[in-house]
Amino acid sequence: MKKIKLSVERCKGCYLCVANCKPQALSISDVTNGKGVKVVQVDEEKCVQCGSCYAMCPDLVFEIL
Amino acid sequence: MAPRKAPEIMYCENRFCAGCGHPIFDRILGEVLTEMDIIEDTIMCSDIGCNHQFQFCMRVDTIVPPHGKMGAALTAQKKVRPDKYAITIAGDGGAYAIGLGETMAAATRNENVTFFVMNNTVFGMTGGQMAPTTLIGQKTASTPAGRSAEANGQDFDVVQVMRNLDIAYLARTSITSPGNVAKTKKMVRKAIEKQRDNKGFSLVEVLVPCPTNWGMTPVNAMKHIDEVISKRYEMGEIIDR
Amino acid sequence: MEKRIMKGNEALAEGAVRGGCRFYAGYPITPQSEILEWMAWRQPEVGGTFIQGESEIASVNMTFAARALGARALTSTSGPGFSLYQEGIAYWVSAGVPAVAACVQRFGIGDGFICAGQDNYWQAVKGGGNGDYHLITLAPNSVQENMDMAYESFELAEKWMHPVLILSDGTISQMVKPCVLPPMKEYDMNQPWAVQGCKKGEANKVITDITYFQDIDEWNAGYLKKMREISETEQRWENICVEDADIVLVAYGISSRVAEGAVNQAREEGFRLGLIRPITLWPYPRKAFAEIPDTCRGIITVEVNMMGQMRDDVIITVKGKYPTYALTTNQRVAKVDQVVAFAKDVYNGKVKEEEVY
Repeated sequence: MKKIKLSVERCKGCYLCVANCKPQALSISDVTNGKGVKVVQVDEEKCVQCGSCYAMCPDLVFEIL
Repeated sequence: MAPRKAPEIMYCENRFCAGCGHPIFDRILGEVLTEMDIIEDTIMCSDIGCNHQFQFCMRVDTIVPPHGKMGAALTAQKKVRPDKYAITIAGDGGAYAIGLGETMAAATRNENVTFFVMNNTVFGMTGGQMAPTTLIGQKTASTPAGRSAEANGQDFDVVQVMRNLDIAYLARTSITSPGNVAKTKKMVRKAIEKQRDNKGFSLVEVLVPCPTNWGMTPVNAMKHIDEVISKRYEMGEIIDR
Repeated sequence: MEKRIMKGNEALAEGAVRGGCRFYAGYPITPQSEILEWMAWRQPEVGGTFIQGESEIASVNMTFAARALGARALTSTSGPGFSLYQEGIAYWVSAGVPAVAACVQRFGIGDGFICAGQDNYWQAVKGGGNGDYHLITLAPNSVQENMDMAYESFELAEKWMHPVLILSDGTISQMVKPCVLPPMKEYDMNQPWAVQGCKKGEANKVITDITYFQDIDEWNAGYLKKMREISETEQRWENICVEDADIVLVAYGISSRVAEGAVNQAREEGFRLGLIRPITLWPYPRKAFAEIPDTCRGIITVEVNMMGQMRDDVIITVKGKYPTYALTTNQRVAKVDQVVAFAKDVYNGKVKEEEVY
């Protein structure tokens, strides 16, 4: 079961999500999107679906499933 | 439960810089309008400045008067269409510098309208010049040595100015953490409910980061609000009638 | 037909109300305050909105908002207040908001005086705010025309989705005359272009500089086409004894009444004087000048200002075909004798054609 959906093409690389992810499920990946930004990635094992990333993301990257 | 998916009113990507606080607020407002089911009953009034970019990503009817003139435009909106919510997302430059007269006039008349003022302590769109809210000592494009009260005048606190007015709601908040985002959302809803209940003027000032013009990373800009700006400016609900 | 004795300012206000105006915002300034005072009781009576704004800047932007929401909206002011309106009016133009402003001219630069004047002409017809625009500018010369032009101004503005300016003056505004009152018009503010709240599944509307949402080159081309069409089709004027005139006067508003008196007096004396009265100041009634005979010895504008502001448009229109002069009487309205005497002097070659009046 997927816990979280990321629209990484929207990511501008502010990483407020990473800084606010208490279980440290989010990190910066090596994947670059169309904006030239290294996008965030999620470790689904660690994600507790708290929604902090959704709350802090200015760019609507996250959807908690 | 906290929302888990962006509301449909946010119909496309925004044009703000990375780590900007404005779009976090715009989404919060979008959630509240959606949850209260009042998108159809809302006519937004835009300021001019970074804040006005909400009109390019939110599906809501909007008018755009000249920079800072929201107090006047909202007053007319509400009188012409009392059945519609009259709401602005303003900047601190628009609401407190060029538009202070119109903002104050609407407040002193206790017009039944709602102001959300994004305070990032600078004129963001034009390159980070001093705003009324720029802190003493803060370096900006037009206060290169840091703002001094002597040379540039005192910094402006809307709470000091509006505290004794006969208005419905006055609050200051921030969006620096998930907890503060939740708090802000409650205040946004309350401010709009004041208008719904014909209580009168409401203003919520939101401290938002401007990493671009502050020369900080987005994460450090949020910290700067928590550690410096929110210490200078009183936080919380000041008036709630 | 209902008739009533009214002051010019009151007629302008009542004409607007009868033309469907249901929103007024303004700020007190002499000599237009009777418009504001009339609206203060009349708007509530007809179910409209009256707001005394905290400034002219607030008032012009309140008018923008009301019109953007669909209501037929008027604001009025005089000299210094009209200067403060310019930013707001430029926003009306850029957003295609068909609001109406009235400027009751007084004389003077800066604060100036409260007496009548015609020195807002340049500001009124040459733009006034930033960017490429003219306002459709109507120039009433009687109490009845104050009423009639205000009455039709909204339909004219809506026809072109472009603001209309009524350029009256302190004399017409204070004149008291019997007036024929046109029937009341009702207007549905739920127009397809107006913001009313975005319905589910529909695109939202943003009333702003249209080029934010439309290709700018495309918009520019359409706007230019519209302005050319207005310029071609909306010219209005009244010609009196122009076809055989040796000297032609050009005058609008209060000056045109004096000029008409001068034509009558001169003709009685056998002096062939004529008058072109522009009724629209933009578009300037260029077509009216085609009637001037080749034998005409000069054209004189009669104006209540110092520098002969309207003469510029006469020069542009006649392109050097006739010498042009201005009889400028500063803050005083010219007298009939004075106009006739000046015209005779021009006829006899006694007046120098100045660069600057």
